Amino acid sequence: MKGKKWKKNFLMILSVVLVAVSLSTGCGDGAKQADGQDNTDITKEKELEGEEDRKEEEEPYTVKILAFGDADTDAANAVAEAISKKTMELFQVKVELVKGYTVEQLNLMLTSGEKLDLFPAMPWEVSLTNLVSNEQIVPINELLPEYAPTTWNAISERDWRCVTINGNIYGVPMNKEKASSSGIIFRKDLVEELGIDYESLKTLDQIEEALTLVKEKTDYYPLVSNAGTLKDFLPYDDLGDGFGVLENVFEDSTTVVDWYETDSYKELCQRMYDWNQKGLIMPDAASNTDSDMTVIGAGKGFSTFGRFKPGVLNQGGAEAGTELVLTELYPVYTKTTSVATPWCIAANSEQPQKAMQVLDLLYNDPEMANLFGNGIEGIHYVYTDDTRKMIDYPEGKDAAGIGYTVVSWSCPNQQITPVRVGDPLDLWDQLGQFNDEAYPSKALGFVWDNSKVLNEITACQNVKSKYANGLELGALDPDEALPKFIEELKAAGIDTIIEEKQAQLDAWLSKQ
Amino acid sequence: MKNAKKLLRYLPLYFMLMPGCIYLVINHYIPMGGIVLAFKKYNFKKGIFGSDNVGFHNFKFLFQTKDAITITRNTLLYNLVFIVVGTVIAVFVAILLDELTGKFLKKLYQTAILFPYIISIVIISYLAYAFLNTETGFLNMALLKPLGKAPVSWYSTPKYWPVILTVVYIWKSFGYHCILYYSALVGVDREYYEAASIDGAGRWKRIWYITLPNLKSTVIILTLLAVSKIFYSDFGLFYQVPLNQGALIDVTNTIDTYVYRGLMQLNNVGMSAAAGLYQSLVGFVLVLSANVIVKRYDPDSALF
Repeated sequence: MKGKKWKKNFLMILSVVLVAVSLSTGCGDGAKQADGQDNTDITKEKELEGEEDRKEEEEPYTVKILAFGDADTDAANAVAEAISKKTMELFQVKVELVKGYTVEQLNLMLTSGEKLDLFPAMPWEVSLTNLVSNEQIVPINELLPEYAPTTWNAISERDWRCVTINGNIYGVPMNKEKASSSGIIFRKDLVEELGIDYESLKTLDQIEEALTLVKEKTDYYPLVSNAGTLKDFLPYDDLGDGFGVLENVFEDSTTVVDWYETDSYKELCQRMYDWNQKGLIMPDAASNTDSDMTVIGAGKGFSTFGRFKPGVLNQGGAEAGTELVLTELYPVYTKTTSVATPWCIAANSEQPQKAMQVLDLLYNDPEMANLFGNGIEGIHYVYTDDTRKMIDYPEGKDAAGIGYTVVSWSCPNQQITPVRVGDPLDLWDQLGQFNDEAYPSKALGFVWDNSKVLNEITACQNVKSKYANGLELGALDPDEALPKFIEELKAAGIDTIIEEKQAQLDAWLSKQ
Repeated sequence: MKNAKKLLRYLPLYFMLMPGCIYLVINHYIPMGGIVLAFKKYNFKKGIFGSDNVGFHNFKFLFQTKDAITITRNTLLYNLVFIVVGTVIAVFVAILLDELTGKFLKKLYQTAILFPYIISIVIISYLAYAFLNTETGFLNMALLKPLGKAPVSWYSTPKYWPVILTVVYIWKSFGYHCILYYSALVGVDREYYEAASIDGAGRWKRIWYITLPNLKSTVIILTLLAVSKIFYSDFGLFYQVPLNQGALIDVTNTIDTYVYRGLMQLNNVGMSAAAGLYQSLVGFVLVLSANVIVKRYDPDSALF
């Protein structure tokens, strides 16, 4: 009897302990968060009251930046230290730099509550809308005029609009290419050898002839895939996620349609199926895990579709290790996701205003931008001459050997950094002109809020992953697979998504 | 009085139990609080308990399309086949091992069959790729070509995959189960066999009347454990080995891969929690019912 009672008591005590433990951990978090917020408010007030007096008393805050490109820890630390020197002087802030950005790492940092202040949000990796609806990033419209006035004025209203959700600005758009043309890239040596007049190829039929020639005369795969996908080249506006699009930006329609139901998509699938039957696409294209440039560089592939910007041949050629040429099928156009590649401030940041100041510095100070993007002079790069406008790798080293991989387009503002050998000196002017000339999509500046249809999007995503690559690379017969694809998307609720998107777009358009 | 004395006497033992209990509580019971996430729209600022309740909204995406049927079917059927075929092969090989007399050979075989179990699934997926590649794969080049048959594009033909996945799974995992069964056999008293052979029982009879009955409870326990996981799939096997090919999704999509694919893009904690809860609940019900059935036929072998 007693034993049983004891057992009962023990169980009760255990459950009480359990509840207490879980409650206290819950409360702990809350308390911490509240503290953090209080702190920010207090420091904000402090700074407003009398910045000068308080500066020396404060423990310097460390702004943690997650950035693209692999780097040795030592190299990243050295760069961070060099940047810290300046930021300590200016705003009593230290900088910590974590290179080697992967989307998994970013998601882990954001979900686990790990310290993080600044990171780039690439639309093809994370959706800005999701970051906002999960409250993983903070709105910066109030911080901008006060802590980043130069940046605030430097960026056009149009570009701010592309990162504005529900009236709040959520990031600083990178100053890189904000538009793209599209077409197909070829190996230069083969084009010359076979005497293909690549500049005259303006339709897919003409391209097919060129690919057939390659197939007959050489062992190269005429068209390769990029890590199991066909790169986008048709001029549609994906309106954020590709479910519900504007079919052709050059037609100026504002009707949201199901991309996979359009004639453009059907023609693409039929053409690719035909090419695959004729052996013009690399075998097992959908299970190829290498990038298109790797396959082309390995001497196995001849061409790949793609989107272009000034300097793309130099960049791609460096990656592939062979000279490339391109032919444009569609002229330059721009859409929201071309512009909306912002640097964001994570919700985990304890002092967003400090992060804002550092971001402002990186955006506007050429010396800092160069340090951040290219590393330390003499170790990671050298100037080619005294004008200090062009840089090269130090003698005897190459991209792989310097320990600080350069991904200059992911800098907040690459246009204030020196260009690299091989690029024209006026690359940034060309880029600026390119951006200005771009044909704007009617929905440029419209940012889609998907929070009401998340279930439908998840379901559609699953259907898409089943069919899209197979169809676009010609592995599936569009006569059979495409109707199934469309039908399953409908079952997954794509019509609900389109309806919601159209309503949001119409509301947005009426305000313009 | 007597009880207090008893408690005092066993106190050191209870203390020895403590680390295990603490571990269980920290790693298995406290995280269960996360179940509430399945019913919330998780907000990183408001925290787990502060987020808004959304009821069963997070579960909707699982049942949005007919995918729910496909993935449940795939998960259950594959696991069923794995359990049946896996057990038969593992028991068979365990008996073979037991019948071996050479000590060196015994060790050699044991190690050799366990080896695939400890290879990473990513490496296995590339071993499979070496067999199945359309242009250079072993099956197409070394088998189909000499036989004068047309090469098969394995990664875009769904109908072969139930077999391929089963073969890969069995190849990888039977060694491990086999060792478990073999260790049960090592414990069997050799005198049974001696007595049986004196009575004139041949090898087959001895296996049938001594070895198999001795394996029964191990088989039941391992099967019960497997049944409780029947709603979980080996993510690596179903995601890595088919190289995440869209064309194969109908036959390779299981609950785990479905959730992973859907949530990779959306990073939605609530939906992941919902899918996890659905899996756990069904697994829980299955293990309870399996236990009830076992209890009815063989009370000694039931888990509880």
